[in-house]
Amino acid sequence: MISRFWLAVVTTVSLTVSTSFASPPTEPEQFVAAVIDKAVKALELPIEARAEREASFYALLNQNFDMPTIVRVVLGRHWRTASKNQKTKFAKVFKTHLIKVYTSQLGIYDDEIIQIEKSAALSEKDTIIYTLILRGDEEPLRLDWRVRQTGHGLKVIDIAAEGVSMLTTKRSEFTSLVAREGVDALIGRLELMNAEAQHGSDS
Amino acid sequence: MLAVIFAALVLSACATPPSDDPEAVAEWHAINDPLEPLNRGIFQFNVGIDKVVIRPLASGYRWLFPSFMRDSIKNVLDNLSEPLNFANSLLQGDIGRAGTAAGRLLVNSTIGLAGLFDIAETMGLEPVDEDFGQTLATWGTGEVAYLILPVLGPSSVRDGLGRGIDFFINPINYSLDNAGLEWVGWTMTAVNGIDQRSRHIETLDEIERTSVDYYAAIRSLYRQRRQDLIHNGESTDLDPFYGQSDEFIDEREQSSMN
Repeated sequence: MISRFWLAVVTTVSLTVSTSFASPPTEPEQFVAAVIDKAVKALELPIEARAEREASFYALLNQNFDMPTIVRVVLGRHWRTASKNQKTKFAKVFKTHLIKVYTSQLGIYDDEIIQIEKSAALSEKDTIIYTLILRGDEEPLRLDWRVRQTGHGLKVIDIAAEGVSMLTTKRSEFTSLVAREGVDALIGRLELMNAEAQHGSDS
Repeated sequence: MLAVIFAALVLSACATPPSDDPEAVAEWHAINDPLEPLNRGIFQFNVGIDKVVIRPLASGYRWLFPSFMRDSIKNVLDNLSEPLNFANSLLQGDIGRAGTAAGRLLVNSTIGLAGLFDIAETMGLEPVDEDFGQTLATWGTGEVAYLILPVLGPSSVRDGLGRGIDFFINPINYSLDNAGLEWVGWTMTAVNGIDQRSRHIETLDEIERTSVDYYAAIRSLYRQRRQDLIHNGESTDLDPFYGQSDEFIDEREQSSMN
């Protein structure tokens, strides 16, 4: 059951948008549709073109995700006690981590269909867009996008699959490690994983 | 005597709660894992058993049987759990879901050929998944504490107790018991476990590969999935932004992060 989330993280991106809205799409719905569209474009690049793929995902993260907020929330209460140097280093390593360890592992786009089901306002600035991924014979997968109205326009701040949030999961892992071993240990661990992923795809 | 030893073990394995920082205390309560040292030990044990026994069995099962056969096996086992879905939906006061479970049992046991085919789903009776742990949750019982069960994996005191009660209220276990066929029940449980594991081989490998703390990742995933099941897909209070204002970041800090 738990695995649905990771499947989603991995499949998130292998999708296409069906534009059969029941009512005219709201602004956040259009935004999510556009983000998915860009992800599909990146996934259509051949696996061998690794640098290009990584660059596309890097641009996608930078332009459409509220990275400053994500980086801060994912470190939980330890953000405040971290030094400025640690914060800068962590932000950099974490972003690379998302690219190297997750997105670079995604396969090629496989004609999955994503449907925007509905959206619900959470607060004045936050909206959740519920989408459904249809994958041939397999059970459809529920994917929820949390989108925030920021000073720089709409940004994705979290993705959840079957009710399991990426940010909540990563935060509980990170805070657990930091509470036991400190921020530097977390940065070191992430750097190691990034290097391994790099090495793995080189060979 | 065993109980005394167990109690002593549990007490000695308790982590000490933080006493100073209020944020650390809040985090301690949110994680709700006072047995963490003991849990981590059992988790390591489970991971070991999984590597040498369960994962290979699950791989073999997937290799040996074509997917339509595995789906049929799963359908039969799922059909036998409909009485539990029915009873727990009723106990939760959810008449709609109880009706769905009863309808599914009726349709799939007859035209679905003893559950081999999930005809009910094609008729619009979507599967429901209700257990006594969820029933206790809707009655207002908290998790009490996170708990790793040997071999069975992540659970909580509430959900572990729920599993036991589900076993006792399931009419199938009584009939098997009366017929002296307890082994059938155990076999069904084992096959169900292998089947579940076989459906998550790549994804669990993926979680282990991508996590900095596999134990904490599984704890969070388990808890979020349970919340989602308890609330039947409605949004829950496990919000990563809970207590955070929308503008908790200032521009000065933002520039150091880009």
